[in-house]
Amino acid sequence: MNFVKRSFGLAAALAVVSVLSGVGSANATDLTISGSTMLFPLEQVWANAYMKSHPGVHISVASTGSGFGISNAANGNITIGASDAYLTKDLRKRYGSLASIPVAFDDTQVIYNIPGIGKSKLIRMDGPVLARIFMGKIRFWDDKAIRAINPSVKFPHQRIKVIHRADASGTTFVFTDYLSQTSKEWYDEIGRDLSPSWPVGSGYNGSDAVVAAVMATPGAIGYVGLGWINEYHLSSMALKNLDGYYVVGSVKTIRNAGKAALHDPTFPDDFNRSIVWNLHGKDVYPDANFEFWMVSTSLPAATMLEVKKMIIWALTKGQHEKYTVKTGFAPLPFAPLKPRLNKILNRLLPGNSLKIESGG
Amino acid sequence: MGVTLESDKKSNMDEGQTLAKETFSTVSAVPPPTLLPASPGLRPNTPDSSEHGAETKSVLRDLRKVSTQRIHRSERIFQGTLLVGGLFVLALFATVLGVSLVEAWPSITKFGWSFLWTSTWNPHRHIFGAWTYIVGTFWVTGIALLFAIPIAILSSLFLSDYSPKWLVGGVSTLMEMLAGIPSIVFGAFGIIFMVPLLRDHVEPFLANTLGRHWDFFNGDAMGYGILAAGLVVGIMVIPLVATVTRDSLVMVPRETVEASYALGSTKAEMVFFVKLPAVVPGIIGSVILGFGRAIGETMAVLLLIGNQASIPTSIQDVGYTISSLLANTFTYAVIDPLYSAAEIELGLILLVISLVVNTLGRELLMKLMGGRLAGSVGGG
Repeated sequence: MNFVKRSFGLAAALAVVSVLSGVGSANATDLTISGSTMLFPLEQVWANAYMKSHPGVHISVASTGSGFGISNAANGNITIGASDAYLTKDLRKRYGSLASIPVAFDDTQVIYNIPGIGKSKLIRMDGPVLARIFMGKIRFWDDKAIRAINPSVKFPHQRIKVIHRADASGTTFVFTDYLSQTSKEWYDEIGRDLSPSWPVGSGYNGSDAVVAAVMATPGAIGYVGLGWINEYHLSSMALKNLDGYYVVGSVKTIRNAGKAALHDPTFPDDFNRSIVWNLHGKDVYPDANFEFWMVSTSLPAATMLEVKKMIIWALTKGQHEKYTVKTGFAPLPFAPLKPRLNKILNRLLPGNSLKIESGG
Repeated sequence: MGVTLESDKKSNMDEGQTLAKETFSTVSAVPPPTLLPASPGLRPNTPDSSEHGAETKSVLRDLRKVSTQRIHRSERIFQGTLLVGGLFVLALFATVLGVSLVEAWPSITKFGWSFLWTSTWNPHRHIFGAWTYIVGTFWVTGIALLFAIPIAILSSLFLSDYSPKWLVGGVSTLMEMLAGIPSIVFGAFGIIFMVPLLRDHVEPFLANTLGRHWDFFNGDAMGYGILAAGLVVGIMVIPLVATVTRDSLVMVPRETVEASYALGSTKAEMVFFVKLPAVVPGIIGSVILGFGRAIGETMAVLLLIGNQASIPTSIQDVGYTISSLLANTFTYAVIDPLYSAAEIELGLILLVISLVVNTLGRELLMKLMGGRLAGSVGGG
C-alpha cells in the first residue's frame, strides 16, 4: 500500500508547485492590455512592434469587450483597458480613478445591400431617416423619406432588413450616438448604448458577421467600422453632417472630424465628449470616434512609468500609417492634441519628466 | 455524472469489504485466501503458533497488530482520498450555485417573480425581464426536438431491425462521432448550408404554401432565425436520442419478439406494435436528456438565431435564447451591477430548468429501464 501513499504524496506536491508557480509570476515589465474588440488588431501590431524595440517588456493583448476593459482597468486586474467609448458621467462616477487616453480614430459607416443598386451609386442618408429605419418605422427601400434625400436613385419596392450587432460593441455605441444626436425619437425611446434594446432586425456577433449577413441578405442595412469597409471593399452611405453636407467616411474625413473637435476650445481636456455630429466643416464625417485606453491612476509608480512609456510610444511612433491605417484606423492629428495629452499624462504620474514632444 | 461515479465506486468497495469479512467468518477453519495485502508473510505460521512459547505468540500478535494497523491506515487514506474527490464535486456545485445566487441577488430582490414574465429588457433604463429569452429558448428547443425525435426513432428502428449487418457498425460509430462534434462546427455548418437553404428555398416555399392560410409560416425569408437554430440544434440532439433508443430496442427480450411472430404478426407489425411500445419509456427518457442538451446549447444558436430580443410570432422570425444573450453581452454587463445580476439570474433560470429536466430524465430512465441505461447516458 506504500506506493499508493507515495503516489498521492507526489500528486499533492505537484499540485502545490503548479499553484505556486501560477501565482508567483508578477513581473514589473508585464503589461496586460484588454478590452475593445475593435481596437484589438491595432493593439496586436503595436504590442509586437513595441516588444521588438523594447526588450524586457512583455505585453499581452486580449480582446474581451470594452465593458470588461473599463471595469477591469479600474479594479487593477489589467494594466490598460481598451474602450471604444469615452467615460460617460455614470461611468466616471463609478470608476473615478480612470483616466482615458485617446489612441486612434475610428468610425461607424452604414452599409447596405439593395438589389439593383450598384456599388458606384452614392446613397445619401440623414439621421432622422436612419433612426426610423432602425426603429422599423420605415419598412421599404422605396419609402418617400428615403427617395426625398436621393432624388436621382431609383429604389426597388423591397423590405428593409435591419442588421445590427448582437454583442456589446463600441461600433454600436458610435452608431447609436449619431442616431441619438440627430433623432429625438431614437433618443427618447432607445438612446445610445454599446448594447441597446433593438426594436427590430436581427443581431450578429462581431462586425465580420454583420458584413456577411448584409452581403447575404437582399434588402439589408447594417453598420461597421472603417477597418471592415476597407477590408471587404464595401461602399457605405454618405451621412449628413451638422452643416448639411453628405460625407462618406474615410481616413481623411475622420481625421477632419478629430481636428474640428480639437480646435474647438470648449472640447474637454479629458476627452469625455463624443465627436459625433456636433462638428462644423465641409468634409467632416459626422460619425467618427476616438478609441481610448483606460488607465487607473492608482497603479504602482513603477508599473505606471512603463505604462506611460508605452502610451507615449503608441501616441507618437505608433501612429504611423503602417500600424493605424493598415488595421483600419486613422492616425491622431498630432499638433492640436499635444497639450491635452500632456495634461492627461501628468495626471497619470505627476511630477515626472516624461512628455510627448514630437509626433510619429 | 461525477457524483454517481464516485458513489458507485464506493458501494463497490463496500461490497468487496463485506464479502471479505463474510469469507473470514464462515470459512475460519481453512486458512483464508489472501485477500488483504501485507498478510501473506504471516498467514502460513498461524496454525503452528500454539506449539511455540508465549513469547513467540506475543511477538506474532504484535506483528499482526502492526500490520493490521498499517492496512487500516492505508485503507483509511484511500477512503479519505476518495471522499475528497466526492466532496469536491459537491462543493463545486454548491459554490457555483451559491456564487450565482449572491451575484444575482440585486436582481432577484428588485424584480421578484415578475422577472420571469416581464418581456422588457432595457439595460439603459434598468428594466430587466426574462420572458422574451425564456420564450426564445423554448422555441429553439421545441423545434429541435420536433425535428430530432422522429428522425432518431426511425433511424434506430432501422438500425436495430432492418439494416444489413455491415451497415450497423458503421452507422452507430458515425452516430457516436456526430455526438462528439463541437457545437461551433455545427454552427458554421448552419451558416454556410442551412441559412442559404432556408432563405432561398424552404422559407419561400413555406410562405407560399402553408403561409397562405396561417401567418405562423409567413415572413420575410432571412435564413437566420429560430428555424435555422432549431434545426441545427436538432441535428445535435439526434445522436443522443437515437443511441438511447437503439440501446433500449436491443434490450427488448427475444421471447417477446418471438411470441409476437408466433402469433402471426409480420415484421412490421412486430416492430410497430411490440418493440416500439416496449421502448417508449426509453424514448421519453432520451428525449428529456435531449431537451437538456438543446436548452443549453449556446454557440450554434448564437450564430444562427438572429439574436433579436423579440417574441417570435412566426417560424421564420428571429429570436434570442438565454444562453446566447449571456454569451453575447455578459462581458459588457459586468460594468453595471444590476445588469450583470439580471444576466446571472437568467443563467440561474437556465440552470434550474436543465437541472430539473436532467434529473427527471435520469430518474425516468432508472425507474422504467431498470437503471441499466441511465448510467450510460450523459447529461446536457
